[in-house]
Amino acid sequence: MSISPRITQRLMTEQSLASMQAGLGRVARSQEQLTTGRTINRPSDSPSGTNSAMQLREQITQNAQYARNADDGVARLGSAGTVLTSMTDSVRRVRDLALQGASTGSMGVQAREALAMEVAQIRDGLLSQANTTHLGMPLFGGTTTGKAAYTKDAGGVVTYAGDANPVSRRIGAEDNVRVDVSGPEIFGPDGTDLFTIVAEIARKLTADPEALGVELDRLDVALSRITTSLADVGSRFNRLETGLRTNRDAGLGLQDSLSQIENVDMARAMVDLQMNEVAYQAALGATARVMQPSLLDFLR
Amino acid sequence: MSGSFSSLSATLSALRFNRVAMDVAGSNVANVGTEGYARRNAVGQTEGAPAIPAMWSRWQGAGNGVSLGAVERMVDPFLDARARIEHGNKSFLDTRSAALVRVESTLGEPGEAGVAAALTSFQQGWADVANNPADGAARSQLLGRANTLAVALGSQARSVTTEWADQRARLDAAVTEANGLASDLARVNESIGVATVTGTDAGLLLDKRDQITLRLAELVGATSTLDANGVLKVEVGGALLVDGKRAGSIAVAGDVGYSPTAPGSLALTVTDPDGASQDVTGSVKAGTVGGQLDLLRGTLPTYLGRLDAFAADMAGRVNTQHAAGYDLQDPSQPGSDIFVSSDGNPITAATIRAATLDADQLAASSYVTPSGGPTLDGSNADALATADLGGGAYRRLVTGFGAEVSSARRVSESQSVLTSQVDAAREAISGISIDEEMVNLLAAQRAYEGAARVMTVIDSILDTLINRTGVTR
Repeated sequence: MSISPRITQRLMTEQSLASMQAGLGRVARSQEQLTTGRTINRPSDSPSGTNSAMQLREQITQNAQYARNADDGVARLGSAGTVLTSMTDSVRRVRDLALQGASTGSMGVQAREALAMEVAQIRDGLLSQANTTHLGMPLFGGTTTGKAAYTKDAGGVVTYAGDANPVSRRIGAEDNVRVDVSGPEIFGPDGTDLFTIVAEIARKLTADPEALGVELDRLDVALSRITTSLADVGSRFNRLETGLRTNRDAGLGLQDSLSQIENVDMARAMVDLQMNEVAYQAALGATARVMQPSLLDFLR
Repeated sequence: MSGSFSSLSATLSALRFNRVAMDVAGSNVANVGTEGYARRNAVGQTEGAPAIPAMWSRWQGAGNGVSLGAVERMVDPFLDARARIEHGNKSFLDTRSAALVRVESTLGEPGEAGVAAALTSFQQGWADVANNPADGAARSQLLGRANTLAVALGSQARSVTTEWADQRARLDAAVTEANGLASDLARVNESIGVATVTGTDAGLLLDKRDQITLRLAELVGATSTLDANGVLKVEVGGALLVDGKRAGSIAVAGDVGYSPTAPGSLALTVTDPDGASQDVTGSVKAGTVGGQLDLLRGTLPTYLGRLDAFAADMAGRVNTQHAAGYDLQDPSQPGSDIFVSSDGNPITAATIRAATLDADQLAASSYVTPSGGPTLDGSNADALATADLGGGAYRRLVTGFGAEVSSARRVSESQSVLTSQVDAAREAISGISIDEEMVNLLAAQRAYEGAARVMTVIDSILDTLINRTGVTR
């Protein structure tokens, strides 16, 4: 403000008032930044900063969601892996039993029946493992709304009740990872699936042990199908874990960028506040001294 | 040669003048805080030889004392005109800036409570449904979030329309005040005319006139001019409002509540003292009313229009994608609308609502079973979670508004500085300095004492002349 050639008391009062107001305004701004901890409290504080902050916030939440998706997928694939590993053991056991039964010379009928019994039980176990659920949904049933991936009819024939739709988890904008394995992929198509093979072995152990060789070959194919699925599950599991780590790291980076744009530099804000306070106090002091004297004090 | 007694009357004139000077100084001090009071100055005028020399007689005096020439009002009409312009601009900018700041504070951006956050959380809700389409909790949560998004948009639209209605009411109040001032001004002008003719002091009336014209400039950006005959004319947006002692009026027409058509129906007309009306809606570019018209016809409807466009676009994208999926309840039908309009018209930010749906009616799946039954697929939910729902347009809207607010505030601040400089310049001329008045008072006091002394001297020489003449002892 320029100083006019003729100064009046009122002019000084008004100018002092204006500069005190301005000083107090600056103190209030520093105080707002310190109490909210943010430099951008409204879009007009920094329109371009607002744009970045809004974008970053969106990315941060998206990123957190990707991490949650990956977490969920890891759990699902993890339980699929566990089930498949245990099924591999069961299938190996069936193979051992079938091999024992195939050596026709060394076995009596009763021993063979015991073998057949065990194989039949393992088959029930395999079936119930194939029907394992994850969060109430069959793990190997695709996107079916039913409660089981495989159903067994009165005659003991097992059929696939699920569907072939993939179940995926999004772990990045362009990264959608499949987190399921459908029944037929693991156990083979209906009619020639693992359960049919195992049932056939159980039947032939007592009825036709010499012909077990064909079933053994088919069992080997089924076993390799399971192990292939297992390897597939494992590699997808790793991909999800990597995705999870990447997302968490990216989340930290994004959070950091956001706070650089939005958050206040405390040290600097404190110094600013101090400076503004000093300036305000100076304005108050100067006003108090300048407003006091007048010619009236000196006239007698 | 003047007579001795005429010397007494010359001294008397000095006593009189100095008393007036002390009165004027006293009145200045008394009015040091009076709004609109301009400093007065008593101007003395020497009584002496007549200005026109006479042909057959000769003035032989040597100073006949002093008389009061005039009591000057210390004002600069050009500076006053400048002050009116700057005050008009200042109130235009202040009105705009204050309203924009108010609207901005209700946006809640950037932060966790705004529309952007609601939109992100709505899409997150879809991602949760995609993760577990069978989970009723995730589906209910999504419905809740759709509602939150609709409410966030509605409350933003409401805060803008509330500001609109508020400014509309203030516009009425400002115009009413301006009309009152216009008729006051006409009366004051009439009194000034009478006072000028009768030769009485019009200072008080002139103070009043300057005050009214300044206030009219602040309210409606009125420009005031004195014509060659001393008649004051006030124009608003190019139309004559006050012509000397005759006043016209200003009227506002248009809806008082916000509707998409309300901004267009808004009209400001000035009826001049002769009764002719002129539409000045687009030509008032200063004063509170100018700022209000700019907000009511430009800034606020533009913002609302873009917010409405975002709401409609977002709802359209969600509904279209949703219709591409199948729900759990009746997969034979495409997914029903998530967002609907509360009044059956196309969706706007104010009318957007989340449709009342069952959790099972959310079409998360892209597949049906061969027999047309539901599946627990989440592909459509994933598509909705990752779709571009126009968040970028909203971001541009908010940052554009932020830039407008920040520039409005900056311009308003610099205009404040300019205005206060002009005010300071006016104050330098018209303002009262107590020190100066004290000095004037002292000077008049001393002059009065001096004149009294002169009177004593003349009294003394008269005494000598009357009582001592011829007395030798």
